[in-house]
Amino acid sequence: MSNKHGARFISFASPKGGVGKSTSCLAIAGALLAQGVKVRIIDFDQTETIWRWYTTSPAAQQIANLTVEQGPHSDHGDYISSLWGGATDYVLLDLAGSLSELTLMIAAFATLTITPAKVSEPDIIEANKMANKLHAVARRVSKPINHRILLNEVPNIVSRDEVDLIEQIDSSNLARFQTIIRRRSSYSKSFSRGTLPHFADPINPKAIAEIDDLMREIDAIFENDQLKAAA
Amino acid sequence: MKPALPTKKMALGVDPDIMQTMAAVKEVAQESNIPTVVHPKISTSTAAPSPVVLPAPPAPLPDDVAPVVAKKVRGPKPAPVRRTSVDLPVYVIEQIRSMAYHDNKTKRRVILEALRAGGLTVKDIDLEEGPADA
Ligand SMILES: Nc1ncnc2c1ncn2[C@@H]1O[C@H](COP(=O)(O)OP(=O)(O)OP(=O)(O)O)[C@@H](O)[C@H]1O
Ligand SMILES: [Mg+2]
Repeated sequence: MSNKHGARFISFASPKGGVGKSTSCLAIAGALLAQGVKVRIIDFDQTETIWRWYTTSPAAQQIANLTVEQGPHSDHGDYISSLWGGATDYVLLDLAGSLSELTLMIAAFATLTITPAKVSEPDIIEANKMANKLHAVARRVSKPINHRILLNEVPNIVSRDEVDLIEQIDSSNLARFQTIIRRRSSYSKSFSRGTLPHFADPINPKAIAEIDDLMREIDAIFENDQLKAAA
Repeated sequence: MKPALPTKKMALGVDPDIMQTMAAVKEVAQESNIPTVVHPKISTSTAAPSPVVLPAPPAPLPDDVAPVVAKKVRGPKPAPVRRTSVDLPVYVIEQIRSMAYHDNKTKRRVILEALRAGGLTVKDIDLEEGPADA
């Protein structure tokens, strides 16, 4: 994998809390670290989920190439300006589960914004809200914005209604990852045990496989952008 | 030692004019009444399932997520489950779906709560979703 690109910023944003932003942020961080790239996570959430995950876990602190820091909670103008000059391969931005100007700002600047959502109408409505606001910003600056919904915590058995809902998403303007993240205790476990799915002992191969599938989709988005930029 | 606007080294997808994007975000935020900063959510100190009082008001589940540590509480386990299928009038199925959506509950929960309200025994713990896979 070539690292000849500028830093890639992935933000995890959703107006709704508890949808899996921090969980997917950490899962993706683990996949990237397993590829050997540098990852910098910035926790913008005042609940400090990832910050606490990191500071209370000696195992997490020993993962090579990973840095975790806290973002500012206000007065963010200067911070944002300087952030985008950083040189790390990947910067993952974990945002609070609410829609604020700061959330929207970070998401608008990110190379890719991921909004996790369960296969439930309330979650999809909130994800849609996020997409709308981002696209409103994009229209004003006449630039496309990469936003994807990540279906998360999908149970093993999906009901007819849930299938219907996924079909509705697919026939709408909402863009989603084809990869879906299942509900697995390995996600919550690696979280509470201060590790990452890719670094857990033992690892759950099914979880790893789905995160890697997701990574391939994310890479494709970045590659596509790069091709467009080069053209 | 704050760097000047780093227009050259920006990531793909980032507008070359940071100020322009910031201004656009502020406009959209103001138009949609999005607050500048949202105050931290008050974290609930326990993840214990809230007791279900019937008839349940259509209160949405809190957006908030309980702290991860609180999940470790060990308690009674849900009863084993088995699939069953019944043919119901379409309008009833529609009402179940609609109530589940409005109350932010699973359809399973809507059905179980209704059965309990009708006098059947349904334990609190069994109102919750089934176990996650390994
Ligand atoms: N795929 C999954 N499988 C199992 N549990 C999950 C999964 N995704 C998330 N969870 C659990 O759901 C809860 C909420 O997840 P998480 O903290 O990642 O959400 P969040 O969107 O970051 O929340 P907040 O808005 O509070 O920051 C956590 O307990 C987490 O362990
Ligand atoms: Mg979080």
